[in-house]
Amino acid sequence: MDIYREEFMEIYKNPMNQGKIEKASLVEHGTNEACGDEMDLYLKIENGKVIDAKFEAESCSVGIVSSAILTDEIKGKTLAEVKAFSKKDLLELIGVNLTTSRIKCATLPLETLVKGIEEYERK
Amino acid sequence: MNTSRIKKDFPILKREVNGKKLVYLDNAATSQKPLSVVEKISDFYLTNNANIHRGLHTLSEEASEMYDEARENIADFFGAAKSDEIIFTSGTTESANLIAFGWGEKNLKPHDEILVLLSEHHSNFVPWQEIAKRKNAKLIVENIQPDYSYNFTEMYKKITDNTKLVVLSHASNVLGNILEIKTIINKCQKFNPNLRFFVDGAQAAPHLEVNLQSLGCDFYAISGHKMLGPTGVGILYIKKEIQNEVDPIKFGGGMIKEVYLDETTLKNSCEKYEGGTPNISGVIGMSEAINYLREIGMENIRKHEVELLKYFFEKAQDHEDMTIYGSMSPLERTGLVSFNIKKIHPHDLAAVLANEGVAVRSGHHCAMPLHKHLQIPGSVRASFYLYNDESDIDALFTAIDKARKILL
Repeated sequence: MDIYREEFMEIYKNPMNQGKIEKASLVEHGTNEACGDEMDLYLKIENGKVIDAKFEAESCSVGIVSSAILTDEIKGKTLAEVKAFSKKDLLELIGVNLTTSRIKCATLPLETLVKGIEEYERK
Repeated sequence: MNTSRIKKDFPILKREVNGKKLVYLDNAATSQKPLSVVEKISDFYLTNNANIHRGLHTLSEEASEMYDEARENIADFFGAAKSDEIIFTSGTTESANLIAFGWGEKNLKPHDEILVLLSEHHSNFVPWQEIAKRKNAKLIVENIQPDYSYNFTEMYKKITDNTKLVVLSHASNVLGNILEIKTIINKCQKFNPNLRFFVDGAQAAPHLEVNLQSLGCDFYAISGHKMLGPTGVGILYIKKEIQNEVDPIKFGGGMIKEVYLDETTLKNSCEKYEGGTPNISGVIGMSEAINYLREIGMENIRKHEVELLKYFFEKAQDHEDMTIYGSMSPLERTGLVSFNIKKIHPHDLAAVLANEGVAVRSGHHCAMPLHKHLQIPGSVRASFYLYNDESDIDALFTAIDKARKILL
């Protein structure tokens, strides 16, 4: 399916979970060297569960939509569940055909999430 | 220039993309190839293929002759004093690396200085940064002015006795600004007569007449695939008098005179830089590309691109949300325009254009320092060549209108 279909553009124009979380349990910065996209991911974690997730991104539509969908998906999940969430799962949720060069735009939020949780658990 | 006739020489331009006519505006990344170049390469493999300078058999003699003639032809086209000054590499990146490591390793000392420009392509920035680090030398970056030009009077003041090399792009791959290389070199030499000059001509040689002797640089790098040739052919000019200052960085077959158990002597010619089997078919194809360009005439190509730039800028006036980077004078730039549309990410714009059959580049174009300086994540670049015409620019602007409807 074309990425510029209505449903996709709707999320892009009004993305869920955009913004900062004050006193977040985890803040992780992600960059995509290939295109210069940048994002910050904020997670509030209590008793091993993600209770809130937000993001701020300077990115193309694919990056924004992917960040919105991912943050929505992980809310309420345990860290173990979040860690089991794969690239394939994310691309399926986004549900549009992405060309090879755009897949990296979509996976940046997930890579940032994985890196953030690793850091969080190390502490 | 008769673009409709020229278009016919490029079979790929007939193809459709997503059911729409292909409009190819990504020439600064790589140009398309005329049928004559493709056929030359295929003919070589079908009838002459052999390794060069190694066999006495007929095919090897033929291939060697074709390869040597290609070097002569290319040297003549770019106005080198002799063909021995033309070295074939894999591309501009290898050419810059050959000088950075072959010349830099031998000539740079701690506290020496290399001057470079902020807008350089990574391939003409990172090799100098790396050799400077390894030799404890200093990389001095000249900043760009708010009007996208360089204040060379300021740059000349930074030249000291420690300055060893000045690195310049004949034209930027993002801004397209053409530098007056000859004048800059002359002025620099007044501050230090022993300077060496490396010029990256990847974005200039395909679009302007280049005469190496008249430019007066020591090193000049050209990218074959950006000027109708195949990928994998770089043309590096090293002035003959300077060649003893540059060591090869690839050692092996084809570049030696004699090998003994404890010592090896190298050829005293351009071949000392071409260790291993070179890109024979590529070089022969490149020579055919040069023949094609010679036939059309570089002066005509330049005039044509200036006309296209004028047309683009005229149309751009109706698009208030379009920011164009670089000089607005067509005479000061090559046939490329980097721009952004307000509130549209360059990737999204490029993706909608691609859906409409219009091929452009988006991103930082391997010039991160410049994009960081401009404080933009990237830009969209439309780059023209001899086969583009006004209808291609019309198609681009129509596609931009469509992108606004979808994305805003």
